[in-house]
Amino acid sequence: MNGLYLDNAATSFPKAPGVAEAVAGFLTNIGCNINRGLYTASFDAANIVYETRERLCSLFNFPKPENVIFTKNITESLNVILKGLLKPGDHVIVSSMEHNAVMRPLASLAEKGVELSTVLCNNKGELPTGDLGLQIKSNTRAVIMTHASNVSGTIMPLEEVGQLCKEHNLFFIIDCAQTAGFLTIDFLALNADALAFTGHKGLLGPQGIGGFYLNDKLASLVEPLIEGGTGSASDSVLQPSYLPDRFEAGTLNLPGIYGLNASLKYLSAEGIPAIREKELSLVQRFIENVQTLPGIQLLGPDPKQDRTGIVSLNFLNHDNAEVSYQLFKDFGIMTRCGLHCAPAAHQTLGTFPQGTIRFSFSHFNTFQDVDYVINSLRSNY
Amino acid sequence: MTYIVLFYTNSSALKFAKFIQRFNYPGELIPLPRKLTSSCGMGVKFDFTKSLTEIISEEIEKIYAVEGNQYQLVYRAKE
Repeated sequence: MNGLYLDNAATSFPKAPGVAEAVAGFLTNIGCNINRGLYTASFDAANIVYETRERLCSLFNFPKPENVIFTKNITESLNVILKGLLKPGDHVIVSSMEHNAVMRPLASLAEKGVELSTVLCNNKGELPTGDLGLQIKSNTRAVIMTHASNVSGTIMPLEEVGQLCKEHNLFFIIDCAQTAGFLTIDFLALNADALAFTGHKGLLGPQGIGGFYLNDKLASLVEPLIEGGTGSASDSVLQPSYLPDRFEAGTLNLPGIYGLNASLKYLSAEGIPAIREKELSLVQRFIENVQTLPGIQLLGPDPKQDRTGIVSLNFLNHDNAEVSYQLFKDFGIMTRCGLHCAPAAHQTLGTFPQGTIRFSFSHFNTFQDVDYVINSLRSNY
Repeated sequence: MTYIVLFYTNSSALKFAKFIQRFNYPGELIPLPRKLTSSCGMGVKFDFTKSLTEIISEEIEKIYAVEGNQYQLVYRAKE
């Protein structure tokens, strides 16, 4: 890719070393399905799929590999969980910083009679946890929350939310699109019931592979969205009730799983804390320098607060879309301008409808990259 | 003695195959003989000299002892 790619919150690039080779290796040397034909290559593939579930268990502290379900991305994961669980009359609570991957399925469920409450975050995207408790009603079934905003990088206090859910016997469903591979995530410590993830962002795998984990209690309540062949219990026309088969009808994205397996190996060798530290050092350098430039508003948490590797800027004297376009055209800097599929988050931050320019870093970036962006901004805006 | 172990799910078969590998019991994943099951799953065939109680778990549906061409049912999970 020519230029400087700073759109890692949309999808990461470059991918982890070994990912492309693993995908190509599967397509070139293995190529077969699992759970169908019973020959050595198929068993090899089945073992890699199972090992990938185990690797995800180590990464997120999931207790059971078979409860790891593969999907094409986190949007599909959230749709399966939300549409499979919620019934008319149920009430759910979200934050005002959610992505449309949560808001659109919930908006469509709301048309069918599911009640939705939103806890308003402050203009830095921070959640007042106390307000969440006030929204709980007798028919509240679940809290669905992003782990960190894809617009501002604000991290949500999920430990407190999980504790509250436990006290009130509510299902706690986490969207970790922006934090997997960046923050240490402990499913059990968070008191979560389900966690949806995607493979192609911080997990540094290919597009088209994502998934979710859900505990046994939730698994029995969530109706599958897709039913079909699983290569198991083939004497029955009914979808198996056990996991992962209950939610994994049809052929899996095996090239994607091989790629994800390779990227998880890389993450485990590098260590999440080291990746986070590197990314934060880049972000801090970027923020410190941006703050010296006039006419640029920094969104999100205070610079000294914890955040992810995302910085959203609002150019007060220019059109954000024009700045984003020129950054690419004149300097080869790739950013994401607009509403980032999160209109509610922008309303909360006060940047609706003009949006922001989002710079999202990867730990593969360097201080030189940061300085190049700063110099480009300094000389032009 | 050689045994064939049948599981409720393919995941359990994979897990068990890893288990015997870890303890160096000779064996492997196999396609289950049709006469043992109408499902099209996989099972594990392995050699084991100790008592079967050491490996029984709730994930196992049945265990057959293999004697020549014959399969002898030696364990079946309670319904």
